[in-house]
Amino acid sequence: MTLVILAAYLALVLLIGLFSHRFFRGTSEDWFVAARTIGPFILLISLFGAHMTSFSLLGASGEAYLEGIGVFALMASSSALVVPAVFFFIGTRVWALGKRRGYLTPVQLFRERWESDGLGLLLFVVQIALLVPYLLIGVMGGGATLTQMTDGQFPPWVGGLVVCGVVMTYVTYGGMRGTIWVNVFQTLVLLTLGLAAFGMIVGKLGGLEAAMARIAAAEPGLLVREGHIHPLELLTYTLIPLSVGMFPHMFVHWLTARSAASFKPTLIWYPICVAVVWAPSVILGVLARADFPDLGPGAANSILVRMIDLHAPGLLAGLLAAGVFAAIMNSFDSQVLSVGTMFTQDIVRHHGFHDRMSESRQITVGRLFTAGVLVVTFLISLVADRSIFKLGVWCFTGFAALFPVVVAALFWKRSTKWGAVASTVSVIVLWTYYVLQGWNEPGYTVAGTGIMPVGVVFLVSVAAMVVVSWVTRPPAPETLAKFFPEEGTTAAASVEGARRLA
Amino acid sequence: MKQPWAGLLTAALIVLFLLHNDIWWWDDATLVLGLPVGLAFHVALCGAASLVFWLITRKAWPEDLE
Repeated sequence: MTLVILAAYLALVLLIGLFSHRFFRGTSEDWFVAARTIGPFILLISLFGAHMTSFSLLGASGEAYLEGIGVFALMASSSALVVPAVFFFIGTRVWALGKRRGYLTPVQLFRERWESDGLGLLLFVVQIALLVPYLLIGVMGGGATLTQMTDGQFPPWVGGLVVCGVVMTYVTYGGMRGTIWVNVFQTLVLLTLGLAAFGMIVGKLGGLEAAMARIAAAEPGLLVREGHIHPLELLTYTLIPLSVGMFPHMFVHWLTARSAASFKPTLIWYPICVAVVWAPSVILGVLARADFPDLGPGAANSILVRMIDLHAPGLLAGLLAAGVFAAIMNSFDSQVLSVGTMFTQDIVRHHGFHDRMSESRQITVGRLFTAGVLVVTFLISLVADRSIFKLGVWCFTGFAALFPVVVAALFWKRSTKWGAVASTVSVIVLWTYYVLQGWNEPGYTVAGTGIMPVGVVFLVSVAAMVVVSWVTRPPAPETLAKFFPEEGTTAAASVEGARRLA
Repeated sequence: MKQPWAGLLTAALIVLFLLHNDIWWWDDATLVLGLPVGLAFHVALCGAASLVFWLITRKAWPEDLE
C-alpha cells in the first residue's frame, strides 16, 4: 500500500512539473526566476515549502520525544518571529534591487555593491560549501525514509536515486516555474497530511487533553524546559533563523515575486504555517513516550512512522511516506536549482563569457549544471558518511553568521568590500573552530554556558564588518547611488551625496 | 516605514522577541487547553506575530519599493 501511494504521488509530482513547461516563455529570466511573475499566494507557499525540510516532520517529533516541548520554542516560534521579519526587511529590498538591476543570484548583488569580483568568488565558494551538506541530506534522507517505510525492502540508494531522478526531470525541464508549481503542490500535501496524521492519532489516544494528562503523570519532565534547554540557548538560538537571509535558494525565490506587495501574505501567514506544521509534530513526539518509552536518539527520528504504524496503519502510512518525500523534495529542488543558477550566472556567464551570453545558451548551461549537481550529489551520497547529517545542522550557524553581510549591503553605505571579506573570513575561521570543538559533543554550547556558537560567530562577524569598513575606502559614489538613490533627488544629486560620504 | 506606526510596530516586534524568552514558565507543566503552558504560549506567540506582521503590511508598508 505504501509503495503504491508513494509511486502515485511521485507520478503526480512529475506530471505537474512537466505540465508547467507549457507556460515557459523561452527566456533565461523565465527559466531562472519564473520571469518575476509569482503572485502573493504562490509566493507564500513556495517560500514556506523551500524553507521547510523533512526535519519539520521527522526531526521535530524525534527531538520532542527526547527533549520535550521546548523544541517548539527553540526551532519553530523563533522562526515564526524572525523569518517574516527577514522577508520584510531584507527580502523585499533584495527583490526591488533584483528587478531594477536584473539580478538572478546573491553573488551578483554583492559583487556589484562592493565592486569586487574577488569578494563575489569568495561568497560563491562559501555559500556553495555550506549548501552541499543540505543537498546530501536531502538525497540520503530520501533513501533512509524509503528503506524504513518499506521495512528494508529497498536499500537506501534506491530512495536517493528516486529523489534525484524525479527532481532532475521537473527542475531541468521546467526551471523555476516547474519548481514553484511542484513546491506549491508538495507544501499543500505536507500541511494537509501533517494535520490529518495528528487528528487521527490524537483521536485514537482519546483526545489531546487525556493523552497529555497521561504524559503529565508518566513523564512530567517532557512538558517543561527545565533540565532540557538552557535559557541562554533559547536566547542565542533565535539567531539561527537569520540564516534564511543568506540561503541562496531563498534569495532566488524572493526574486520570483511579481511585486513587493506580493510579500504581504507571506509575512502574515508564515507564522501560522510554522505553527500548523511544527505543533502537531512536537505534540506527537511528546505523546509517543507513552507508547515507546525507551528509544535512543537514532531510533527517535522514526517516532512519527512508529506512531502511525501503531495507531493508523495502511492508508495513512502511505500518505505519510508521500508527505515526507514532499518535505524532502520541496526544499531539495530549490537548493539544486539555486546551485545550478549560481554556477551558470556567477561562473560561466560572468567569468567565462564576460556577461555576454545568449538567452538560449544560459538556459542550456543552467540545465546542464543543474543535472550535473544532481548526479554529483547522488554519487557522493553513495559514499558519504552519516555524519554529514551533523554537518548539516552546523551549516545553519554558518549561514546565520553571514547575515551581517546582506544587512550591510542593503542598509550601510559606509560598508566596504574589505569589511565584507573580513566578516566572511571571520565566519569561516570561527565556524571551523566550533565545528571541531562540538563535533563529538551533542548539544555543545560555548564553554558549557548555554550560549550557542552562533552567538559568538555572529557577533564577531558584525564587529569585523564594522571595524574593517571604517578603516578602508568605501565604494565609488556612482556605485552607492545605484543602491541608495536619495528620495526626491536626481541621480546626479545622489552621486554628489554619496561622494561627500566617501 | 511610516511614522508613527513604524516606531510602534518596531517596538511590538521587540516585545515579541522578549516574550519569546519566557523564563517565567520554564518549569511550569500546567495544561492549558490540553497543552503544557510553555507550548500553548509559544503557539499563541505565532498568532501574535501574524497579527503584528498584518499591521505592518497595513500601516507601515514602504511604498517606494515598487
